[in-house]
Amino acid sequence: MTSLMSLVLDFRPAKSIVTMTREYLDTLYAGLLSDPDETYRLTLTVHELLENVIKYAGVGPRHLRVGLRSENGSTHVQVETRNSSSPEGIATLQRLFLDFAASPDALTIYDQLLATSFQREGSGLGLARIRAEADMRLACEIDGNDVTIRAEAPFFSIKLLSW
Amino acid sequence: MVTPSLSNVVSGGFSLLHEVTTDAISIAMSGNCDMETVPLLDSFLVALHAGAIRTGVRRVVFDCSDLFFMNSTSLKLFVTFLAKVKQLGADKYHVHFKTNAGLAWQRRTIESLRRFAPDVVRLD
Repeated sequence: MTSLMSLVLDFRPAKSIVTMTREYLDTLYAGLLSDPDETYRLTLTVHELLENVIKYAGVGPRHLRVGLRSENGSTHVQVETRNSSSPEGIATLQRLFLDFAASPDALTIYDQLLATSFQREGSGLGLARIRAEADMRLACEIDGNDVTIRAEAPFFSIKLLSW
Repeated sequence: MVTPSLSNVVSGGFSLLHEVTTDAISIAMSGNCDMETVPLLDSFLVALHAGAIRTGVRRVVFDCSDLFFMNSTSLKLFVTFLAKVKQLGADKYHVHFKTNAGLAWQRRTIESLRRFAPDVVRLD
């Protein structure tokens, strides 16, 4: 596995940073990816993960990393957020990932969450949307109070493979 | 003509501008639906539904040609809006979305709204 490019952002929880970061990455990746749909999948992922950090993270550093890496001849995009969370937040996240694992496919659970989302707060809709609409694999790592969410998928329209 | 008592929204680069005809209320959406605009969209959709019932229009049309992004919380607001339209039963109006083929996200996202309310949502 070879890292081709990596951007790291450490940030304070300001709402305005979400759209600002998505728009910056949209411009940057529009130059790196020839397929606008892949750019959208990446920026949707960044936006939803960042919003979750702004809404649910506890105190302490908040971290975003967006990277391109080469593996077995293909290029993968990886988006990762890391932050602290409350025990309740971690328990909710763990339940959500169990639901993801139990669901037959990403679209089914996304539609279920969408249909019931207006009845509850913190529905997990953003993460389900990343799986269904952005077609990214999601993983969650818990280490004490620290939560890392990682989204990853192979992308096929990278322009600069000669890196 | 009965008017819907609806106020346009203009905030930074985000706007919701409406126009009323005899059988439709059309809304031109532009900018980004994000964390900062959620309260504005929420109030607008509540007033829009009330206005659509009051005026008796058969169509509400969202023109998304200049809408660059919609976050999941805004999507949730549209689901709430569509759930209320569904509850009207036979008196329901149809909700049309005019999409921009040049914005890759729109079909995927708005298609999810159509799956939620197939009898209500039309994609133009």
